[in-house]
Amino acid sequence: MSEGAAHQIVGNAHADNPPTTEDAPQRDQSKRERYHLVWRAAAATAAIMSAYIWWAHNYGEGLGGVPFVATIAGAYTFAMGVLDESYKNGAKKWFAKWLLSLAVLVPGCLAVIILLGSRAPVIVLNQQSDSLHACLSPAESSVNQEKDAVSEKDKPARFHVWSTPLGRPFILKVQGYAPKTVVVAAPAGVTVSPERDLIPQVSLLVRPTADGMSELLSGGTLHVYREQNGQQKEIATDTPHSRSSFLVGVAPVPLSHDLLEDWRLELAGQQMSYVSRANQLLAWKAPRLVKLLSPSDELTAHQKLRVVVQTAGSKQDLECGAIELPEGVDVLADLALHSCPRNQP
Amino acid sequence: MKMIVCVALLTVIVGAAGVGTCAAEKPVVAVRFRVQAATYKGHFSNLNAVEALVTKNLILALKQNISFMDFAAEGDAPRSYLLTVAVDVPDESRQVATQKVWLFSSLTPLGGSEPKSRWQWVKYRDPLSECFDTSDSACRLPNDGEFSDDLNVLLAAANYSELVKNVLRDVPILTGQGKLLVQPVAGWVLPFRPTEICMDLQSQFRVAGSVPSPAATIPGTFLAEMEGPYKPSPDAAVFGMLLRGESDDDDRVKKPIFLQNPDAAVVTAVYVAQYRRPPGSSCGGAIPPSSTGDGGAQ
Repeated sequence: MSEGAAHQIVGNAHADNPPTTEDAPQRDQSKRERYHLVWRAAAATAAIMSAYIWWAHNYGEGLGGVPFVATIAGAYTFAMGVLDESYKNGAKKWFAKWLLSLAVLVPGCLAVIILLGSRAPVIVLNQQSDSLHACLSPAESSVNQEKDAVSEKDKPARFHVWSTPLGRPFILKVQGYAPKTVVVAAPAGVTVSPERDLIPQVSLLVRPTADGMSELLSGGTLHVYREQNGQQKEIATDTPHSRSSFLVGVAPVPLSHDLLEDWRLELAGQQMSYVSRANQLLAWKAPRLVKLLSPSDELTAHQKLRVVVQTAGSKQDLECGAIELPEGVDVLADLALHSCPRNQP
Repeated sequence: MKMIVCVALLTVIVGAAGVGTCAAEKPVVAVRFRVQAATYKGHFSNLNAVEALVTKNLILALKQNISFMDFAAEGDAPRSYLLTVAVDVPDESRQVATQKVWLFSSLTPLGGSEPKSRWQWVKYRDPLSECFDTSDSACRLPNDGEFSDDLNVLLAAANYSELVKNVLRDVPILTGQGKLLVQPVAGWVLPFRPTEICMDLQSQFRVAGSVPSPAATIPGTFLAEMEGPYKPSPDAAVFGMLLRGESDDDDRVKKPIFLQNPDAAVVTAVYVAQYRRPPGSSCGGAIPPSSTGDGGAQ
């Protein structure tokens, strides 16, 4: 279209409907309304987005996941298709007016602000295949307000607590690990990965002798029993088909250099070749992690444990050892096995 | 009864014609196999079955390689010498995995309850704790079948001459039989066919005998070397040429007394002091390899 033609159209239009002085306030009001509408729409979008993010952070899956959102969107589209053109415009206008009205928007924004500032999640991840039992309680409250949850590999445990943006202390206890105080601030909350962020409470390092490791390499089995009220309950077992020591607990822990030096001295007193000694030290240095049989079980101080290496064929007790677990946090109890006492024929 | 007849016949024949053709009965040695190394003992699912199977294979191997004795399972030969072959380590107070594992052999004399000192016969395993490649089956304790197969291989290649020299040398192959000859060479005629005892000419006997005298019976022990049949006949008895007295006293003092009284000299017992099997020979007492093929894994 040429510039002259455009002027002609504008000129014709003005010629048909000449502007009057009464239309100016209406146009200003309409302009202001449209301006407010844009801001309300932006505020409504921000509130909805904030609520969505809060929900997703607290509950993990947003608004019930994709199927829920798809159902809402589908229902809306279907309703718009069924309505006549006039009703459609009216419904759209009503929907926009209702959603963007101050009566809805202000409480909605306030609710979102309150939620963001007062509720926070504590998420306990689990990267193991076994489930993990976690417990959360307020640190400053003497009233027992413990919350329990189970963390699975694909479904972390989530606690939803009241807090403030400045934070509130809680005590998190995950099975097998020492309790830890975490400061939970809204809306971020805390995400804990036990293997990375927590310290195992007590771990038991079991060191079979050269004979025991040969048997375990050849199909022998390690059994760990807990003695309680005169009875023994098996709490862990492993058939490794390898030559190593064993770490009974929830997660790998580093072995101190002092411990290795102690083992070196211990082996120096035994009659064996340098090669045997070196192989034994190497095997002990790389413990194999053995988890407890029951997910709800854990090693704690003063538990009396008995460890047995059983032969592959005749299921006889080849090597034995017993220990009472010591008190403390991040304790590694070192148990050297020895030949089981034989019954005299 | 057969032995008495044989001795009488031998005495007559040797004394008269100097030729013996009668065959004496071989001594029977009871055999047992034991797993004594602690970790091996508990490792097998059925220790008694493993021991019985290896005992059976051991008897077959002994029969195949030693012809001048007969071998039977412990229960089948109650009144005899007992050969014990055991899987064990040299020092029982130390861990098994840190030591070499051997087949030890020992002999319990007639009427005795405890075996004489054991002798390291065949090495079975190097120390398991010195293994680096744990995927190697030699680094693991064997299961029942593997153990039996391993021992079959070892027994097939074992040195039986050393077993005789160190352990079975105390089992007499003859008791009260044999005749001392002085001419043309000094030695003993022993009532065994060469094919029965299957020894080559480097094998040696230890002959214990005595010469009665008015003052006292004079004992003596001498070494004799296998010289083959006394006369060129397949049925002839073997002749062992006198080499020397076992001790200096036997050699210098007693040998002349025995040689001066060959008819009065009595053979008390004959032992095998050094055993060499003729290479590539098919001796009469040997067991064909096909008959030993029923051992192995179960």
